[in-house]
Amino acid sequence: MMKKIIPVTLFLITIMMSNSPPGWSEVDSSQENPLQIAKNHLASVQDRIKAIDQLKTSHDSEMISALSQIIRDPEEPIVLRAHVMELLERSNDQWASLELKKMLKDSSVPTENRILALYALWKKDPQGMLPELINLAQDNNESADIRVAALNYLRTEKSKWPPQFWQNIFLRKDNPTPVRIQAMNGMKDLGLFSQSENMLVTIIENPLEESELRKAVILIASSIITEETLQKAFLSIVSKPENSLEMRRFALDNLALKPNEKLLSQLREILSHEHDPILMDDLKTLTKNTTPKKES
Amino acid sequence: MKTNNEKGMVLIWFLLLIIILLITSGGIYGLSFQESKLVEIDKYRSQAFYLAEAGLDKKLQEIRASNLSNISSTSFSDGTYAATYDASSKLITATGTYNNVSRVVKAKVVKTLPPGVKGALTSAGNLSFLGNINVDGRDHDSSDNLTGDAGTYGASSGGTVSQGGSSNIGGNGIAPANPANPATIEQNQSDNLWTTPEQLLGVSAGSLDQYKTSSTPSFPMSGIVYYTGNNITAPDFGTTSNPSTGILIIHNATADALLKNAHGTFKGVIIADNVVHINGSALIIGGVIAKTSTQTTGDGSAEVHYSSSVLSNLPTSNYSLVSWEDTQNTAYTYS
Repeated sequence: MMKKIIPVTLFLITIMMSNSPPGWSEVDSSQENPLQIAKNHLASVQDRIKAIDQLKTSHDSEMISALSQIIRDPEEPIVLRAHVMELLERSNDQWASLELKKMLKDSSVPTENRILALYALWKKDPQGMLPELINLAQDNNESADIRVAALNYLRTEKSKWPPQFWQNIFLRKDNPTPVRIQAMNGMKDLGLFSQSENMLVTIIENPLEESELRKAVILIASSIITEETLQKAFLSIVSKPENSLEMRRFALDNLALKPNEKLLSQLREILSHEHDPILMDDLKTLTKNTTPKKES
Repeated sequence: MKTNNEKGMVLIWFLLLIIILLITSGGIYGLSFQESKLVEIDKYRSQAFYLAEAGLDKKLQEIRASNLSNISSTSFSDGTYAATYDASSKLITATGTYNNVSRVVKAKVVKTLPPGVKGALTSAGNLSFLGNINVDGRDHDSSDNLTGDAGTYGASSGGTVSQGGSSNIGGNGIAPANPANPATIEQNQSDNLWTTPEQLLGVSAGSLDQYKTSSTPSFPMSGIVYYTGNNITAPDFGTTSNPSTGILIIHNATADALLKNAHGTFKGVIIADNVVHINGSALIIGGVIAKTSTQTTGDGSAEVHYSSSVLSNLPTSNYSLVSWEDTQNTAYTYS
């Protein structure tokens, strides 16, 4: 009897073990597999990051497709996605580059993830990515964030693109303000603003330009344009009611940084025509602070 | 001998039946009376519980307004509530009483980080970095050492973040870099709303009014300064050995107050309508919240470092409940 029972029992145990749910008989082996841990939503972020770091030396063929699922999922923590991107960026596997490029081209992928892909591709091959970066930076159909990122990476290239490239993006009014500001930052970094005084003053004084852009130009211009020219531009802004109150006060604040006695008569003239109570107060304060002590 | 006097037995049986019925109905009446009394008591207990909760809420609001004193018995909706706060254990004990029935609830509170801080530098509008500024969202302690915690974003913006010059941005466990790793930057966050300084700090409306001043503050400062003027230009926050600490708010009625050319050491949180140039030797440990930042930095080697340790010890009382206990143990009496 016992001779029959033992083999049958062993057989049944074998069947049960082979059909056991994941996490029972195979728990140890799966937990040791970094790819499984990296994909496991229930594992802690720290454990998943450690697992991803372990995969940097792995040659698992399934790794790229499995990891791309992590970066495509906007619900995954950004730290985790950044680590996966770093892994793909360092990987010599051609599938990694292809996966990143696919993600960058896919407009259904959230912009945040596309920027991560663009960054990884640029870090992987800065020179090879230049044509793509130039296209993205100029593409009016692209999101402003992608274009800003592309310009940000392009400005680090010391080969200096033709000033026309940067100037076109900076001056075109149909470009979003952040794109124009990033182009301006690039131009400053590449030293492309020499002899561009008029261009900057025109933007500063133009009430039809976005206040944010004008303010940014004012701040960057202080190291490019002479103080006298800038102060004239500020007076022009303050004196014209077609400029927003925000912009006029910003110009006044800048005038107040270095009170200039020579501007006193013009400030008084502007004050005599001003009707806005807030600006009148600001003008009175500036006039008072600019007036020499003996005169007051 | 047979007796014929058995008719009286019917009467005896009848009397017995009446007695039994009386006893039974008396018992039923007694039980139902007791039941109704219990129902009533249960109702009183519920009322007392709600009153205790009211006391708890009231005390929490008071703690948020820096009022740590006890609430003595206060009439409310036909009952009373009272509450005490033990600052050392951070425990609120609230008692509600209704028709002589009392219930006690206890709740533990903790100081929380200002809800408006999403990164080392947070803004509702676009952010632009130039110069040599280092913005690091990795967690730092109050002495400016990295804690090892990934922290948060270096820059969190309701719009777009642009980077230029040699500015470095780090965060989420990633060291500052130029160009920044995109994982250190948060863009187009629709919940980065520019509301009120109180909401950004997570304290009750109007609780900061007492700190409002139109006089330009002197530095180094400590505690809370709420400047309502138009601009603070070139403030020197202090040295690393004698820094400014606490909360600096620069916010005027038209929401365009300017903080410009800030430098020196500040430990705490700075809230300003427009931040232009954090530069020179600036070292801000904690966080900066701006409606917008036209240009975050100019020249110099400015540093903005996120610190959960500094932010959780701000002089505001941004408390929230972490655990709650219905003690269920208060004896009640009824007659």
